[in-house]
Amino acid sequence: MSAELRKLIKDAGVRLVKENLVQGTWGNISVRSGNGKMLVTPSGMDYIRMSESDVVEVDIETLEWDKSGVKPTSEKKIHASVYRQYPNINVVLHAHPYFSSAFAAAGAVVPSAADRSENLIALGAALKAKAGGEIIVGSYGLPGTKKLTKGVVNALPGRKACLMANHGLLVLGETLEEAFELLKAIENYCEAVIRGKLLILPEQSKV
Amino acid sequence: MEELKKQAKYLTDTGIAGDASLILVKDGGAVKHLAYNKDGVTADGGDVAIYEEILAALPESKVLAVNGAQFSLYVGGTSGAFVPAVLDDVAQIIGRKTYIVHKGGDVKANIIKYLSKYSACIVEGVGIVACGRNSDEAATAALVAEKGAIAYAGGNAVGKAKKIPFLDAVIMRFVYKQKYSKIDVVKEEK
Repeated sequence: MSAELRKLIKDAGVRLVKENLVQGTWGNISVRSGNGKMLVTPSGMDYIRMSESDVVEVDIETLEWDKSGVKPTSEKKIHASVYRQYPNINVVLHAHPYFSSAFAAAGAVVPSAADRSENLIALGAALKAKAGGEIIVGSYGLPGTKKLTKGVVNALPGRKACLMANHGLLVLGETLEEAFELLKAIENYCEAVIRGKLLILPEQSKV
Repeated sequence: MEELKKQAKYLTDTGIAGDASLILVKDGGAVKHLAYNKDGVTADGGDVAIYEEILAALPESKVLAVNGAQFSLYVGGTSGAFVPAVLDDVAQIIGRKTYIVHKGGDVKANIIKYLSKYSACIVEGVGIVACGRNSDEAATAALVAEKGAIAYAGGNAVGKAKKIPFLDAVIMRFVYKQKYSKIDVVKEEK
């Protein structure tokens, strides 16, 4: 089971990189592994070079891990707080997608009040239903700090996602696929709103 | 060359290649380059010589990535001297400000000036010029620069994009240069 979950995390990390949902070594992923533990991505390691054995098992209550191995993500507090509060959630994705991050920089809620076009209003309503409510922005804090964790904890109740001020996006799921679907839906919506406001069309490849 | 093609494909797949991109790498005493755009590798690299001179003037960098990324082009044409960091990873990886080199001045000298201190700058009419000790670093800087441009322009389109506080930005940049740069170098040496 642990080997399967480690592979799941490794594959998820590669997917985040390839779909440009994170850049560099930013972002992190966790999966609930049972017996009060979670498996999380290591700190400061890029997902392409990361191996399955670099994934770290951390206790959800105590945040303890095997100190003889690599260090877990500095955002482990956020992941642990989610698993403690939401027993049905098994996956947490912390990503830095381009357009969602723009909303996070502005402290703007998703769906946006800034756009009144019919199709985006409908898209926004569908997204709100999928996420369990409006996706709001948790208060600002430096990465790895209690302040950032508190911001997330306060922004999540009743929802499966929140924005992190000037930082990125956190998405929860019962499965990895559910979490990725929601992440992509949020990013696609945010992209559509921003491109519409700035009148910058997506590039068309001739290939 | 295979490494350049791999990096070019990665940056194309992430959507920042635009209509004209270039990647240059120091190779012994020479500089190799690869021109590409969103449709693939191209023969025309534009003014490759100027970028070779820029890379030569950056002794700590091995790779230069030039990308005609959409939002960097937009910001390069509509903004002033710089784009402030409104995301913490931009502050960490590039700096508190992503400087913009406008046409009309000594473009080459200004790019060298900014890349001597920061890992990326925006150039009006070109997009992003980013540098790094290896192709991963340069690519990451390019991706983050484009994200910074989107966050600034897009954030202001949907609200008011808030700057990263000065002290936070300085701390993050310092920690990044101390800690994460070493991790990457160690892995590179393996």
